[in-house]
Parts: sequence; C-alpha cells; structure tokens
Amino acid sequence: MARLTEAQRAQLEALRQMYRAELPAKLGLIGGAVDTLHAGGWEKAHLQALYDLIHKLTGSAAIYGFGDISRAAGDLESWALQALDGGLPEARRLELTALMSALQEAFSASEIR
Amino acid sequence: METHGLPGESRGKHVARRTLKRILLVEDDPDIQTVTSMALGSFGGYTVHVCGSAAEAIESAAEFLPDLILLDVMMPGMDGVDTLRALRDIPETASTPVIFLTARVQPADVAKYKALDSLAVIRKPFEPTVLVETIQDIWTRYRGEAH
Repeated sequence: MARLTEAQRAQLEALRQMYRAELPAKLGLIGGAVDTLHAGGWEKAHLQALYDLIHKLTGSAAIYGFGDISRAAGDLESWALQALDGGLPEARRLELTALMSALQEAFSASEIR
Repeated sequence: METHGLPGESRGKHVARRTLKRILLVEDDPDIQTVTSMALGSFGGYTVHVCGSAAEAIESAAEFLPDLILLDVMMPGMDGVDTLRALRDIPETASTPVIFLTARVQPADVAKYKALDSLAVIRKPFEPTVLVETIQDIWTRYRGEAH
C-alpha cells in the first residue's frame, strides 16, 4: 500500500463511509430486482437487470474495502451468470434466497474501520 | 495489484512525448469513478477528466487531450473495446496510451486487449491506494520502451 498522508487517509475513509451509507439503497434495488424476477416468471431481461446490479456491487464493494460484501455479492453474481447462461437447474433457483440473506448479513456485519 | 500486458509486452506503437499529467478516466460506475478519480487526483496529483460513457469520452477526448486513457471494458452501450477503436479514429487520441480496467482477465481476454494496442490491463477490483503506483510503474516502463 502506498504511503498516504493523514489528509489523504481521511479523504479515503470519508469516501468509504459515504459508500457504506449508500449500501442499503443499493441492496434495496437488488431486492427489488429479485422481487421483479420472481413476479415476472424469471424472464431473462429481469435476470440481466439483477446481474448488472450485482456485478457493480461486487466490484465497487471490493474497491472500497468491503471484502465480505464483495464476496457475498460475487457468489450471487456467479449464480446469476449461470442462470443467464441457462446452466442453472430450476431447483437451484431456491438458492437465491440464501444468497440474498448472505449478502444482507455481510452488510450488517460490515464496520467502518 | 494485478496487471497484464505491461509495456514490455506491448506493441510499442505509441509515441511518448509528454510526462504523465492528464488522465481521461472512462468508467460508467459512479462509485468507482469517485474513488478512482480521487486516488488519481489527490494521491497522484494528476489532472483527471471523468467520462461515464463511451459517447462522453469520444466527445471530450480531443478537447481534454489526455496523456493516458483509463478505459473500463464492461460498459453499457459501447464497451471499452469499441470505445478504443473509436478513440483511435480521432486524430488527437489516435496514439494516446490506453490502459484497460476489467475484471475479465482470462488469458483469451488479455490477448484480445493486447491485440488492440493497449498499454496494459489493470484487474478490477483494484486497491485505490496502490493504483497510482501501478500506473506510474506502467508509465515508467512505457517511457523506457519508447525512448
């Protein structure tokens, strides 16, 4: 890690806190996409919308230093990608609930350093 | 930070005429825009112009005249690969060095990016605190190769 000044460290931490503060809204959007997926009969467009949201979260959470959230989102992203590629048996749709719970738990456990 | 296709492996078609001062960041995710531009500007001291889409980048590149372009690969609409092709058609950015930012770094992907005459590929997610060092390292090697 590069040597940062106190001011730079504080600047980065402030951004990190802002990002964390916005996470409930991001999780809300993802939850909404899951609801739409269920309500819409698992249409591919809805699956793609869910994947796009999750993909962003996986990347941004890691960059902001929320590794556990990124990993939980990454698991969900892999699941969504498999579903998009048509390689997900219908029985595995049930995994979505557990993956969403894991993501929510990762958020709840996250702390400001 | 993981990089691929460092300058020593690039095709060396660029002409390094300037020191690295101005960076055009093309990234559609606002969260990543924020932390990356902060790292480049505050930690690196670079002048950064952020574009959220290929269209924005194509429109502003000739005016901003970047020394380096950081280009996200996976963007809605025109992706990074097509954006690079479009930027190469603009005289002012025809030979501007480009570094791709992407989570997709399978060998076949990296080979594709290298074939497009990019300087390097930085893997996402990256650590903001080491991004500047990584870019400086890539730039230093690139300058060494170009002279």
